[in-house]
Amino acid sequence: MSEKILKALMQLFAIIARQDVGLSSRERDFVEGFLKQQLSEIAVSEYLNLFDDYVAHDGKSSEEKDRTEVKLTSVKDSVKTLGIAKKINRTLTQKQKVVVIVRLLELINSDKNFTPQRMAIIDTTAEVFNISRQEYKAISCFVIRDKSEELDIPEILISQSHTTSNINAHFIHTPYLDGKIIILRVQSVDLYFVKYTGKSELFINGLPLKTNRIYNFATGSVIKQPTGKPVFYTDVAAKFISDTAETNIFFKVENVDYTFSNGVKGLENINLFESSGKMVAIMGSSGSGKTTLLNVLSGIENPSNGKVIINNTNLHSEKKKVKEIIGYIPQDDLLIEELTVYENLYYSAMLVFRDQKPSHIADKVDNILTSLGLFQIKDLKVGNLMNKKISGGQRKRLNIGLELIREPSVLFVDEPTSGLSSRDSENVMELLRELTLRGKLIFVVIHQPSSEIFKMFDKVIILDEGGVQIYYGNPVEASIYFKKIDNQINSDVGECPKCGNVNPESIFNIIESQIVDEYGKSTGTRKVQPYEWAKHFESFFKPEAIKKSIPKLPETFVKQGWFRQASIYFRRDLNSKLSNKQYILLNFLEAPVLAFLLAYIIRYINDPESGVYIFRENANIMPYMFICTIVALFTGMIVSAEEIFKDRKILRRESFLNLSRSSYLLSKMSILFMISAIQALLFIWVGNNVLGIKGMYFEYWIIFFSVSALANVIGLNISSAFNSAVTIYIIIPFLIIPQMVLTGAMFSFDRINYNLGGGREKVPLIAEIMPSRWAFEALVVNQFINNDYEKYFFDLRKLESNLNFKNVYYIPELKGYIETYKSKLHAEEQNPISDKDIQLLQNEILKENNSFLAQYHQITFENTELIKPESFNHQTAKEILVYLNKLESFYRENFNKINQQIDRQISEMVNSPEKRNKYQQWYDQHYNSHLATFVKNTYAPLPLIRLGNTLVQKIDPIYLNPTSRHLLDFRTHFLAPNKNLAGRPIPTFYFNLAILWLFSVLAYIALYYDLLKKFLLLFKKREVTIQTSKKQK
Amino acid sequence: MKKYFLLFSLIFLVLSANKSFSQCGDALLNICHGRLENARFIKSWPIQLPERARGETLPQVSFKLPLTSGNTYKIFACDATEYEGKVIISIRNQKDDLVVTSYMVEQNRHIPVIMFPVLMSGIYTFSFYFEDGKEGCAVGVVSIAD
Amino acid sequence: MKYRKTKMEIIKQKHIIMKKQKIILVILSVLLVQVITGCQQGQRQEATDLLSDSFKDNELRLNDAMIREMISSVPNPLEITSVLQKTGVVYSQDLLNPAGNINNYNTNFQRALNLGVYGTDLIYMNIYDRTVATLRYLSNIRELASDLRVEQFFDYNTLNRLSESSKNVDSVLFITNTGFDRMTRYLIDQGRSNIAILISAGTWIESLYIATHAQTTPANKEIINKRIGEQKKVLDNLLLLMNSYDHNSDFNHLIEDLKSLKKQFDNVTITYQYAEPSIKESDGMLVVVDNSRSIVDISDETIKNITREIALLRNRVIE
Repeated sequence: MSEKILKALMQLFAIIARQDVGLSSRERDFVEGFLKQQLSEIAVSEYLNLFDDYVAHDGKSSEEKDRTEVKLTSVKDSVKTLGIAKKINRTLTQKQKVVVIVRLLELINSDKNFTPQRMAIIDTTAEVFNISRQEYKAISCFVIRDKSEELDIPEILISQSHTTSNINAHFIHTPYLDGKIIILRVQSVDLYFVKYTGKSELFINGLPLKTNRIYNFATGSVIKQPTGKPVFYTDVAAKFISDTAETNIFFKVENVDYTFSNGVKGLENINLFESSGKMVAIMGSSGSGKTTLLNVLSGIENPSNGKVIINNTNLHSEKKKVKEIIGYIPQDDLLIEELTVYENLYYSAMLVFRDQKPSHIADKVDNILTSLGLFQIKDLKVGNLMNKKISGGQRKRLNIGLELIREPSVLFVDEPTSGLSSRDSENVMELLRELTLRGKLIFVVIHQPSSEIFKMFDKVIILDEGGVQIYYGNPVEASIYFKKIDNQINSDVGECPKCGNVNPESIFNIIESQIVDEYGKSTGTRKVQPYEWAKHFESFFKPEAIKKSIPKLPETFVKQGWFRQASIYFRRDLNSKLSNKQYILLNFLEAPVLAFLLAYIIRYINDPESGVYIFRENANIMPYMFICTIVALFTGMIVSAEEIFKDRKILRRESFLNLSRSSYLLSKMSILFMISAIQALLFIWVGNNVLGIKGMYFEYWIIFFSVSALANVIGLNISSAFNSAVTIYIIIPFLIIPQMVLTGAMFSFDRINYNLGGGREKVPLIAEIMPSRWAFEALVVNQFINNDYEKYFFDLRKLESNLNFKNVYYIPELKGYIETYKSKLHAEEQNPISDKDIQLLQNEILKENNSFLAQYHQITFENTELIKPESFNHQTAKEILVYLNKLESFYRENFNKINQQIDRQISEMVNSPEKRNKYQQWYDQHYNSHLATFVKNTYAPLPLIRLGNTLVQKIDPIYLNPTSRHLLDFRTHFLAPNKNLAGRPIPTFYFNLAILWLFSVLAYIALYYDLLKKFLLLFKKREVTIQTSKKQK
Repeated sequence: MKKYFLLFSLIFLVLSANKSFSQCGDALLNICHGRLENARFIKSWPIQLPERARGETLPQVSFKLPLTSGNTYKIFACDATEYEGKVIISIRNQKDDLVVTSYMVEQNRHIPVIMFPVLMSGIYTFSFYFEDGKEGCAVGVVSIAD
Repeated sequence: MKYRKTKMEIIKQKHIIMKKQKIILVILSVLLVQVITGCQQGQRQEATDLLSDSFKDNELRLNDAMIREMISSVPNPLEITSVLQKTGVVYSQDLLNPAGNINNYNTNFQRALNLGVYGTDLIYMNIYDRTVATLRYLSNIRELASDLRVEQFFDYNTLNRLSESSKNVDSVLFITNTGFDRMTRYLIDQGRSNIAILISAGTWIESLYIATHAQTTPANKEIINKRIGEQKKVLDNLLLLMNSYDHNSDFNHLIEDLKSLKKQFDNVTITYQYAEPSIKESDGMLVVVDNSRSIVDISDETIKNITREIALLRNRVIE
């Protein structure tokens, strides 16, 4: 009892005791006795003194009071009472107030002094406390009356050895009991009080039960008597509730079989029928199929034969309708280790009740915590099995709590008591028992229960090896059944009457007893085989006739609230991550530390004597960009690889709630994206700064982030599809190494296997599916084109390059074909020019006619149709030569023009020493010459190559605008400055970025539909069919 | 056996002594490079001339090159095999006096290499033409001898 | 409890804001793409505008043949460096233009001149069998040639390979000289004679600088001074070539410097003695016996002045 109540009680006791004749010694004894029951010696005297002080407040002794003064004082006292009562009203809960009333009544009952003043005071108090008239009457009746006839109200339960004639009061028969146990139920606050009128030695929760004393009868309490059945709280509560509850769930299992994917039989011909308000045990030796049965009954697995029907709805074929009313509590923990007890429940509740206000839910959670006895530890972190913060029993209760919030009508529990002490086990089972009182149907797989627990079940199903049903019925009768079959003695006696024990172990001993040889040793073979037990049972079992008509399933309707779901997932995940300090530290230090190491190592000075770092001369910038993409991939995948895998049990449980997968996935992705974004920022900020890459932070950041984000989604895919953490981590290199190879940084696309697309005009197809390649290209192209220096000159340089290429390489090459033709013709050779070469000329001239520059030079070759093997002759060659020469002079002149223009612009910038220094600095800080060499492919073995019947430019790819043959032709050569889409040029950076996000979207779709998992299952199925076909052979 | 070997090597030598090479144009120079031996390359010129038309003057090309006193120059030219013409070199000094020519008219013989130790620095003119005005393609090379 | 709630509210709000931001970001990026492609188009217009401009031929061009002839009057650096080497002049690394200076060459003018300078340096190193040290210079030449868009005349891979050993000096020289040769011819054909002229000028300036600054001994001093004096004619030709570009301010400065150099050369006299040569035949080769002579009259004072002037000029070129 809290200090507050005690003080209040002392005050009230004092006021009441003062009334009329004042404090009597009996009353004082009562107060003392009352205090002694609750407190230690020191506290008792403390409060007793307090009481005495309150009583002596007036200063007058009881004898000196005369009639009128009594009246006055009673008025004064009434006012005081009112005041105290109001004060108490504010500070105590309703439950506590009821307790106060009960104690007050108990006080005046101690010397049976029911003066009107006293009654009036208590009356007033009760009114102020908002206790209903009816309840107040019931309470006073309970406290004051003793006789059965006087206690015939529905709020009372009497337990005695002989029946009563009461109509309204409830009754529990307790043979051999002396006197009566009287129990009061205060429905509004769900409190029970007990008093005993007899002389037997009774114990309530281990403490002796004194006669005519009123005790709190709390949840899980037990009143034990020396002989006879104990009185359980649940039995009592059941009595009060059972008549009011409605049966609305009818659960039928018809001839259910289940075969595993490898052909082994899991369950055989299971039949049962249950309705709400019952608790059914599923028992059997290891491997008899208990968990399988649970899985089939709950809908997780589909039976190979037979049906599971809930209120006329087939569970497996119409899962969606039925999912909401089913709850499943697996044996393993489903708790989120990093969150507290409260948080675990809270988030779960938020997901279940997603259309309610958070404040309502908070209240609900507090209630459940209290009923689970976890309120005191609600702010403790759950921890994991290695690092326990709360005990095993508490964990189990929390697990149950997670499911309880939903209040599913049918609950399946897998081994709730495994690993728990007997006290904890009893607590847990009491909890479950309580649920049945509220109308739930509960199936519990349990192994080696104690006798107490065994007796709590309404029915028990016993399975034997191979999933055969060998018993279904009342637990106590099970013992009789098996003993009968075994022809044992005492088979008529189900349980020991005096000790109240039934031994489930003995049942299993009978079932599994083995044949003993002549020396008394067991032979290893069973006396009775499983199928024999099953046959016995079949002949014994008579299915219950269904009496009532079966109503339809209650409609469950929950608003979708997608955003809310997503935000709940988001907050849960975020909190979980934030509370793990190690995780945060590692994740967010990883990026900048790596970046620093990397950048610092590769930051070198070309000319050691100068001692000055020059960005332009650092040959490691292009490799840095490559490493950036790989690091982004790697960190993205590592962060996400275990995410879904860790959540899988929780997801399984939540699959019963109609939660949207997309909200779960997107919220997960949001968190991962946030992490990726921060990591990207840190990495780029450190790396770029150390290396002196100026500006363009946003571009680097967004590419790093996009790659990381994509890797996140891919990681989630893996996480969702694979069964073990190890497999996941093994997969990761397989995903990253090909990307490293095919980025175009380590190995040029011109120097990889031709059969895989190397050495062609466009990027090899296999590299097109590598995100690293898109990212790297975007970074490189962006860095070259958009750096502060180059962007002044890029367009001019591009034009200059195009013109130069045509002038120096392209036109001379074409002219070469003509020259060769001419000289061969002159030498009167048979075949002066091959058909292929003619085809090439035609292709190229057509290209030239339609090229971008054609609109400027307007030199066209008219008769391209004549460039065919049939019509190619000396005249054609001459015309082509003229055409080519015209082109050549156009290109030459304009090249000179542009070249001089650029030169002029630069000269302007360096025509004074200060300007020159500025220019030099600008140039040194923004332009990187090695990167330039890379993007211009300066070291290409050949500037121009022939592929089939076309010529392909290999030099200066960064300056080459790609041509597209049709609207959807977006593939280009590597390092193109733009890509074409629907005829419009789009800068490579943005195009590649879009592609990366497209990959992410595709990966998300694969994730949502679990495509990877299904793909893997295909293999498994194939394996199985191969194996079974092998077996058949 | 020995006989055949000698015959074979003789033919080989003869063939290799033939100063005609194929591939007119820049590539011809690379092929001609072998004849430098230890001399240091200074200058080369491509020579391509058509057949002398009837009644026309002998087609020829000339180039100017400064030579320095104190250096000995090795001068030669290589013919492209596709064409008939055999090239003839002639060198003139600043005053346009003929210094030397690679074709010995009397003996009707082409001399492949000219060694010219110069003692008068100045700009010399190198002229090239083909024997009998035939169409020809050749490359002329001037180098400093070791 | 209350505190926790508000924290959650904040996080929830953040989440909603994030989602809104994402949508805005998507919209923005679509717009951005439009803008950027638009921008790109705009810029391209500018560059290609130049194409339609008529080619304003500012230079009073000498005809190509004349240019070719005059450029060929600039002696190959091999000539003078061979003389140096043959007469026993000691090699000096300090005479060369430091390879690191390449970072300063930003305009075509500077690049062309210094391409010539480095070319001469390359030949100088090779003559003295310092082939392995030439790799950096080869790379410089490559870079400058590439900047001038004439990189196609040197087979760098072969050059680099050959330069790994001093035994291949002759091949290296061959490739280098043919490369420069072809390059010059090409530049003239392409109408970029100014570049060709600058390259030649560069080679000549560096050759003269080396010749005047090399350590001579009393034994070889005479010969070298005479060779220096002979450059008078070359300088005249160079100036003639340059004058057609005197509208260009960079050229102008160079011309002025060359003119002041020429003043010193005015004190040199060259006389020619012509005599009939005789021909010998030996080893299948025609050997000419040159009986003509050129006589160079140059004073020590003049040599000193020339040395000073060329140093100033050359240092301005290479800075």
